[in-house]
Amino acid sequence: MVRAPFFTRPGGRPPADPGRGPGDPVLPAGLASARLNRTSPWRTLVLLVIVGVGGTLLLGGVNLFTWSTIWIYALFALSTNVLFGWTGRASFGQAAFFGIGAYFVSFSPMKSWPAPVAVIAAGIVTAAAALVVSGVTRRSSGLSFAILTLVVGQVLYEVVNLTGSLGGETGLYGITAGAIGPVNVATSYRAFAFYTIIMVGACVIFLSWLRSSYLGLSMAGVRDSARRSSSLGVPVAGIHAIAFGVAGAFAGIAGALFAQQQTTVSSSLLNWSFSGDVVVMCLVGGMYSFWGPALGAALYTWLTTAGFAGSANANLYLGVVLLLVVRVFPGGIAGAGTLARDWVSPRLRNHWPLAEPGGAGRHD
Amino acid sequence: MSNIVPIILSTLATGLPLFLIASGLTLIFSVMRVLNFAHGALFMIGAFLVSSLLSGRAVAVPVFVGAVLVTGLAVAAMSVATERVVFRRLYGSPEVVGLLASFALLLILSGVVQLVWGSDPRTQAQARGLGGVVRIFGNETATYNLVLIIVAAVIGLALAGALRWTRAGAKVKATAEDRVMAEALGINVGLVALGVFAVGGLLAGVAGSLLAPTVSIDPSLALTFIIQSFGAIIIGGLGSVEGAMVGALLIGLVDAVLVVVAPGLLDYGVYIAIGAVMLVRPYGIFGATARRTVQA
Repeated sequence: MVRAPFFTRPGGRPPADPGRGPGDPVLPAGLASARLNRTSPWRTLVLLVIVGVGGTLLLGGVNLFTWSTIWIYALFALSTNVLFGWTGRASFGQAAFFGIGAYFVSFSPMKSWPAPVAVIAAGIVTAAAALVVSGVTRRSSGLSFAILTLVVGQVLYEVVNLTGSLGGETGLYGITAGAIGPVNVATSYRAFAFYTIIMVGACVIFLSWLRSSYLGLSMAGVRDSARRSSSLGVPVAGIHAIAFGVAGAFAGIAGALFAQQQTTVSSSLLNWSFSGDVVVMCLVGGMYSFWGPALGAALYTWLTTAGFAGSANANLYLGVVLLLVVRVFPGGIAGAGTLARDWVSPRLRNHWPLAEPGGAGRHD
Repeated sequence: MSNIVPIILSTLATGLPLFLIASGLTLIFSVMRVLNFAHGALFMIGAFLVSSLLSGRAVAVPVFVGAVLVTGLAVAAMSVATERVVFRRLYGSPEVVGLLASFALLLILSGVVQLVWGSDPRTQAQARGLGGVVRIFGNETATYNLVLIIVAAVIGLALAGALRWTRAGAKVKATAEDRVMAEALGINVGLVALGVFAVGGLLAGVAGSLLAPTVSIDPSLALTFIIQSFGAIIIGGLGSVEGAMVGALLIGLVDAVLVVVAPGLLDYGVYIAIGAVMLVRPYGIFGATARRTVQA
């Protein structure tokens, strides 16, 4: 058994055939290898800098507001995927942590702390809440876990709804991000966008490092077969708790950023339908890849803001895309490229059988 | 003593219509192993359909009954369509996949409803002669509450009777217990699934159209009622129709008591009921006490 600290990353090449556990959905081989979690924090950093800085400089006006919204939802979706795609626990209550983070930075004195400090504090508080919920739900799995998290999320929603000092359904308004030293990020869309990208970027780099560390691989093992992982010495309940804590923490950070961006919060942020929406983001974007949920978040943001003014069409298209993913494309948007390649390459190989060394039947 | 009767009436008036929705949900779960979010959307479509059919006007009772039946059949057809298109191919996948597919259906149906009927709330007037109040055991209650109680009770008894004493009911129970063996014994499992979705849809549509005069008809109906129905079947035990009845009545009771004792906690009613039952019997009142099959 490997006795390395959990936070290091394994070296060497990944095995050629990751295998399939009992009860797994049948995945094409290309998607299965994506489950080996080979992400690199350095590549992630480069990608974030290019996309983040480029986008923020090129866009203007109110598009920058949508741009920051995409980044915030992307962080929320990536955090949910830690629990959903990485560890295999479908939670329908993540919006509660988003809302807790959002409400946390909406009160004094947190309102007047420097913006990043308030956000990180929100993350810590939300992580604690997530660990509590994880303890409550530790014995359930699958469907009952989904329902239980939904109920817990709804209870928190009702608590916020019915507490007068939290503003109820109308919520609180007038939240401004505190100044960071001489800089006030609330002054312009562009300033806030840079702030969002830095905060979200730091979280995403952490997540990408986490994914390819032994901890991340243990999560994948627990997802594929809890029984096998536990017989290999992986503490399954502990991994579940860590995944829940990480998911909750970054959901809280995303919520805090959201509150600072929108300057209002309302109880609808904790509603179970928003929890469902974030799971949809993960699925549609591709729950088995690292960037999938971010793609799903971008699609969701487009559908609900820029693309369609009202929510009717947004729900409709979101539902149709989700249905397609569930029925036809289990890898989501991110998996589409792999599926296409898996469809194309055997046909190419049949055409030119001598071009590929090693013979037919080998993937990657 | 004088407090009991209004509480009983309120419990029945809330719980029995909820049972209509929850029973369809639990039947579908027992056969298909999927918790169908879209069931709430079917209920909402029932309410919208009947208000469209009657244009919101007060009509004579026979016309109202006819509209309810037509709505029920239309929603049943929609339910069967969802089974054919979505759920049939998902049997055997992890249960969460079915949950996600049904959530997708909920989104689609909500979107369609908003496109067809808009997002403004509508109302449906009471049928002529069913408005007003009536005195029961010295307490006044809305006549329509009594109508709801009687109709829902009759339908519930018919459903329980059908499950218990007819061959079709036996086939449904057999398929719910062990689908593979039922198929091996010659039961047409696909037809059972169709039937269960049809009956569930019929019940949801009838419940939606019966409750239409008592609620504000808007797209949020699906979300509200699906949470209450989920609560009812979780309390009663997934897959059990008697459980759905007990769960629905319990939720009705908790709501009725809270209205009197602690009105501020009214929205928590469902969750209080769920939490209380989960502490004592985690699988629900009529649920299995242990997992029947061991998952490897």
